[in-house]
Amino acid sequence: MSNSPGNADRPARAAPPAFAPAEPVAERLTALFAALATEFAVLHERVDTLERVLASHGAMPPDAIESYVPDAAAEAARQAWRQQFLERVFAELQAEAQAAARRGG
Amino acid sequence: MARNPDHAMQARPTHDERARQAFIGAYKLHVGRTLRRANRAFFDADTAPAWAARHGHAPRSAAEIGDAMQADPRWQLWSILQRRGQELMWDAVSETLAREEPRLRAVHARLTDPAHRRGSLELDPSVAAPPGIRDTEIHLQPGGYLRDRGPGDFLAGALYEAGGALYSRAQGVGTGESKGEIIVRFLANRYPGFTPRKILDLACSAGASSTPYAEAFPQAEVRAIDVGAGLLRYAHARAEALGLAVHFHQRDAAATGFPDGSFDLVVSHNALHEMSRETAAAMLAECHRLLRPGGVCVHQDVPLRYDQLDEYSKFDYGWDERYNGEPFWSTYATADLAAMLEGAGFARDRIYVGLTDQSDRSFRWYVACARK
Repeated sequence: MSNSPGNADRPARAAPPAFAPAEPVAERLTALFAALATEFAVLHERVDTLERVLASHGAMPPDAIESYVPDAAAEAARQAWRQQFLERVFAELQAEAQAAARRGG
Repeated sequence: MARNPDHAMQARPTHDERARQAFIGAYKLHVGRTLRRANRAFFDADTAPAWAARHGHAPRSAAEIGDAMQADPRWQLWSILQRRGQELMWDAVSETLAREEPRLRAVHARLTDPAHRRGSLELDPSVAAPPGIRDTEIHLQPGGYLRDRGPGDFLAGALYEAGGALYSRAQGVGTGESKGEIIVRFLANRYPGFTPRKILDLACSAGASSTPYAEAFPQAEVRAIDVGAGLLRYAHARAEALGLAVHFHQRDAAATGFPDGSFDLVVSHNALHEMSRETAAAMLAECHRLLRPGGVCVHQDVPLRYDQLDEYSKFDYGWDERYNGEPFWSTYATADLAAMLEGAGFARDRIYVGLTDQSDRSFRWYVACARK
């Protein structure tokens, strides 16, 4: 169901089987959870890489993260990232909405 | 060489793509192995007793066990997570390939340039794919094995290899030896002195099991066939990237069109379990026709044999047939391959069917072999 970024030309994926037909909401929340857990792990690894690289270069004083205040450009970049992140996490629902929009003409 | 060697046709993941793929590999192992075992514990502890209380006897057949388990919310949750892991895997490798496609198209063009290439590629769009391959996304691979977006498109093969590498790494299959290398070693043990000059790999997919023969038998002419053009374009460039001469053809393993007696060695790797009984029988008959007297065919595949499994395990393995694009899983697992080789024309005393170890003992493969 999901259609992650960079995957626009992929053929439509068949709907997964209904494993829990009496609980469609729970079924879909579980699918969302799996994508979210993946992105959580990616983020964790990136922070871990960053901290290790900085430490190995002696580049980061102990209070550097707590005392940091983003400037406007950094804040804008973060806002864009949040949007992309949301699109990835909610790709499952977005794909269905797009399919409905196509059916609706 | 090793299983999944690095080569120029591979997409290079970014930091985050690599982290995503690594996590999904770990997720698939955790869900697919650790949590899967919990299903059995739930079944024994209360799913089976509850079903028995309603039906007057314990669930005995795979169908009865399925009836009990499919109504259990814990199995439902596990199934959603298991299916989702496979989808996330394809999403992750698709994303890297989509980003890398312009660069890889240039690499592909350079590697397959007629002025420099060692092997070749012959495509024939009139070749019909067998049932299962043409109407199923095998392993849920997006677009299936026949996906072809036009001239120069190698995405089906790139997906196949990238997804397969992620999957087998996560499953703990050793990377020290490829499937082709295992069979080269098997042949050396079983037929000392056998040095094939003409070799054919049937249903070669992305060609990862074709190149080990070109490497092991440098004097031999190695051909490899498949029905998927997108698989073959990738396989050819992959072989060129490894500096190995393999000649790829778009042909059907059940009716290859090569002359009688034209090969010393015919192999297939993980192909039988993607074939109907009829296609598999036709492929084995084709092997007998293609081999010269004294020639050998070897078919390597997964060690899934239903006659060695209890009913719960048959239900459990059946998950892949129902939900993971394995239309012929139980067809393969119940096939009498020795009888099928005999039916294809091989003499009973020249047939061997059994297990062979990966050299690091990380996995054990099933082998069906015969000498003409």
